[in-house]
This record gives sequence, structure tokens and C-alpha cells, in this order.
Amino acid sequence: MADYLVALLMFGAIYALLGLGLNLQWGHTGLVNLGFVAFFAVGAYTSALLTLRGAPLVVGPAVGLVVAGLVAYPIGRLSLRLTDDYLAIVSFGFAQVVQVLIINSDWTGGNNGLTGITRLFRPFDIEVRPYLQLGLVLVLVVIALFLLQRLTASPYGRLLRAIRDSIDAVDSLGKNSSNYRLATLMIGSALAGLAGGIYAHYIGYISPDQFDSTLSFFVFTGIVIGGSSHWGAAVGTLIFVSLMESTRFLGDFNILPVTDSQFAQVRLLLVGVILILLMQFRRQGLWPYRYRRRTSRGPHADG
Amino acid sequence: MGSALDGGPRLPPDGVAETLLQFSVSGIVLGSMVALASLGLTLIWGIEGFPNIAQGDILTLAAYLTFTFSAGLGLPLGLAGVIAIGLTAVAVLAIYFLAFRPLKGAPLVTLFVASIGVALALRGVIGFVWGTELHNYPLTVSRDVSLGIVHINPVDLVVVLSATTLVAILYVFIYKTRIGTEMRAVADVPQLARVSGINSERVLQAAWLVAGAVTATAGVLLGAEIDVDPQLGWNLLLAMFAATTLGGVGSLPGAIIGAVVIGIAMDVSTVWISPTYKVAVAFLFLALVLLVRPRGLFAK
Repeated sequence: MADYLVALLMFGAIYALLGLGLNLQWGHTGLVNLGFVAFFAVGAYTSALLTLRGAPLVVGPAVGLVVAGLVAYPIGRLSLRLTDDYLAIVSFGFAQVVQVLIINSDWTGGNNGLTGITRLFRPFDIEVRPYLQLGLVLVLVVIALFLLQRLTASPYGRLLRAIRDSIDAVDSLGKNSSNYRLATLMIGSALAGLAGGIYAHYIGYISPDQFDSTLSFFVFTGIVIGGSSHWGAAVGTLIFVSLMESTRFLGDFNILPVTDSQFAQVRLLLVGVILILLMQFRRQGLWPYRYRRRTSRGPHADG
Repeated sequence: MGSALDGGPRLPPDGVAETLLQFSVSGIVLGSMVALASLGLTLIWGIEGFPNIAQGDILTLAAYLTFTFSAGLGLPLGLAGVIAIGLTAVAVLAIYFLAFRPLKGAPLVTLFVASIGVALALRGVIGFVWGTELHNYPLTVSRDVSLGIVHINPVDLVVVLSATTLVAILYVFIYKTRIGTEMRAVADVPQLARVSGINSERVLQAAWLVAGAVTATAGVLLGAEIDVDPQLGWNLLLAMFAATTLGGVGSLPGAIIGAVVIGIAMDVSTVWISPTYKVAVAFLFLALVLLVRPRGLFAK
């Protein structure tokens, strides 16, 4: 049971990293990235392929981070000078193409995926290894939280939220909003790449079906529930996606009135309904981001 | 059978010209279905202002309903298709009332996210009711008809003819009826339409109903071409987006021309590359359009 909990937390923390990245894009800048899972996949495959060819373990996820961030550049360049919906469409298409490429290429292992990826903390005993792995991911989550907090509390972050609220207003003030949105897209996607690298080296085996588009939507729903604050997004994704993933095994206990695959559909339906209801009744999520000045300057110190 | 999304051509023709021609014919078949689906997409995109992600799953729903009425209840396929189109259109109107109408006045991106929710919910319902295994309409296998140098399957012929007929009906509806004119007015300048006394609520409902019906028709026809599975429409979504963008968002003739171009490009590309990369061809088109002429060919 403890093993199961640690594993659940581990996945939850990886999803939290994803949530933090996507939240910077959606929660703070208003970018709809429907292909977020593709950047996760790019990070995972980059890291796995590099280390399988002999690169040291620390290099893998770091390069995964950089590559995922760089891949976001053409996506953003293509779509961000247009209205919001185009990023959604281009990223959606990009994710499909990445999926097709992974499935049909030899060097990615095709449908069989890649096996034998070096696990994190391999030299350590199997008893303590999960705790070390969990510790590492939690540290990464905290670092990401800290850095994002610094970023969004800065004038830069204020500008991002201004972009989210009105691109026209920001442009009319002489700021080039496209560049800021592009930077956000790249930073958020890089974080997904890092999460992908960690994921690959945690489970040691990656295949295309682990990077299905529904994961994008689960993460998205997680941050929409959580709200745009970084903690809200991280906790929202951690709890929501873990809940979705862990209920996958409920069928094993024979306590459900429906079959396993039917239950998967019920979860999908549930996610959809939650999204629709949130849009109608609590668009800002449970913990919306509140801007706080570090030093109060009289009556104007509000969000 | 079927070459619409995954398969290759039915007959291996000889010469290069014949090959290209044969693939173009199957491309037109694919394009005619993408055209219907894109019409539904562009209609709502033009009037409501957001691309409806649930478009693909609406299409899937219609295919499954047709399957149930024909294979399950034993109705003739044509009748089953018509009932499915009617039911799907009503379902789309219900979705409008439940998910989108309460968001009136909200930022467009909110409506867009709601459409993601609708897509997931619809797919959940479809998967729950019909399961995830493949289904087929009760179609008898028919021999290809030879039209000079190209061959065409009677099913393909019916698909293209039905799609063309529906486009003609839609044209009359949009350009010759009062409600169609009001629809175009609302899509052009909503405020101006309102001060001219157009009941925009009624127009919106009509638009969703019509978009639902056209999209459903695409689903009914697509189900005749390839296996029906829960991802049927989802897999066509990128082609719809590419077609709509190429044609210019909100432009009905643009959507049709864009779809036929994309359809032919996707199928002809399989002469040189594996059919699994068809989706990449659609993406390439989308990228090219956004680079060169993001407003599309027929933007207002």
C-alpha cells in the first residue's frame, strides 16, 4: 500500500509539473495549448533516446527540457500573431503529427516504444529508490513553483496577465505581446519537456499510448479546477489527474456496476461535464491567482 | 474497404497519370465528407466566433446512430441515415442550450474550453453506449464502376452525390431564405444585425441546428466509407481545421473548396508517403496557410 501511495504521489508530482507549465500558458497568459502532451512526449523521448545512447542521466531530462522549449518556437511563431484559437488548432495538429511520427518511426521503437531506459537512482537499493525519486520530483516541483512565482510576481508576469485580459490594450501600450506570448509558450512547454524526461526515467518504459491526447485534457481540467495560482494549478493537477489515473484500477475490485472500459468512458464524460460546469459557474477555478505586492504602499495595494 | 482516412486506393492502376487521377478521385470522396464537416465548423466559427472542438464527436454520434438504426433495428440504410441526421441535429441544439447559451457574453476562449468539455462528454457517452470496438453498416460489397480510366465504387458515388446535394440545399437555405440572410448578417456584424431587428437568439438556434445536421451528414457518409469507432470524427478534426482555415473562417464556399483541396492532397500524398502520414499532410497545409495567408482564400 505504501508503495502504491508513493507511486501515485510520484505520478501526481509529474502531473503537477505539467500543470505548472500549462498554467503559465493558460492561467496567466490565456494561451490554449491543446497539444501540451506532445511537449511532454518530446521531452520523454529526447531524454530516453539520449541516455539509451550513452548520455549521462542528468543530461537527458535537461536536454529534453531545452528541446521541448525549442519545438514550441515554430508552433508559436506560426499561430501567435493570429487570434487565440489558432494556437489551439496548431498545437492540436502538432500533437497529432508527433503521435503519428512516434508510432511510425523506427528510432522511436514505433508502437512498441522504448524499453530499458535508465531508472533514476539506479545504484540505490530498490527499497529506498522510490523515496529518492519522489524526493527529487518534489524538489523539482518546489523549484518550479518558486521560479514561476518570482516570474509572475515581476512586471513581466503582470504584463502576461494583461495580455490574457486584453491583447489589444497591451499592444496599444507599445508592448509586443506576440513575443511575450511566445516566450510563455516556450517556458511552459520546456517544463513539460522536463516532466517528460523525469517520467521516462521513472517508469523506464515509454510508448505512444502513454502520450494520448486525453492526458492534455486531464491536465487542462486539473488546472482549470485549481485556478490560475501556481499552487492551485499544481495541487489541482496533482489531485485531479491522480484521481483519474487511480480510478483506472477500480474495476479490479469488482465494486463497480459497469465494466472496466465503460468506466473509462464514464470518467471521460465526467471530465467533460466538469469542464462545462466550471466554465459556467467558476471560470477562475478554486484558487485564482492573486497578485500581491511585497511591500504595501498604502491604499493602492490590491490585486 | 474504404480509403477515406487510413487505407490506400482500391485498385492499383498502371501509369503515373492514372495513379494520380485515381487517387484524386478518392481524394474528392474524402474531400466531400470533410467539406460537409467543415461547413458545420465554419458556420459556428463565423457566427459564434470560436472553433467548436466537439465537431468531430458530433460527426461520430451520427455514424453510430446510423449504425444502430440500420444494423440494430433493421431499417434501410438511407432511412437510418436520415433519422440519425435529425436526431443528431436535435442533440446539437440541446448541447447549445446546455453548454453554450449560458456562456453568452463570456470571453470566446471560455466558449472554446466549454466545447472541449462537450467533446469529451460526447465521446464518453458514445463509448459508454456503443463500446470501443469497430462497427460497420450492413452494406453489401459492390464492384467498382469504371468511368473511362478511373474506377469508382458505387458507395463513393453515393457519398459524393449526397454531399453535393446537401451543399446545394444549404446554399439555397443560406442565400435564398430569410433566416439564412439573417444568419449571414449576424455573422458579419452582430451589433448591426441586432439594431436591424434581427432576433439573434433565433438565428443562433437555427445555425446550431443546421451546423448539426450538416456535420451529422458527414458522419453518416463517413461511416459508409470506413469502420465506425469512437475516434472517427476526432481523427477528421485536423482536416476540418485545415480546410476551414484554407477557405477562410466563416466562408461557406471557402470551406468546400478548402476541403476538396485538402482531401485530394491527403489522398494523392499516399502515392509517395505512407497513408499514416495523411494527418501530417493536413497539418502541413494548415501551417502553410497560416504562414502565407492566415485569413484564408476567401476571407471577408
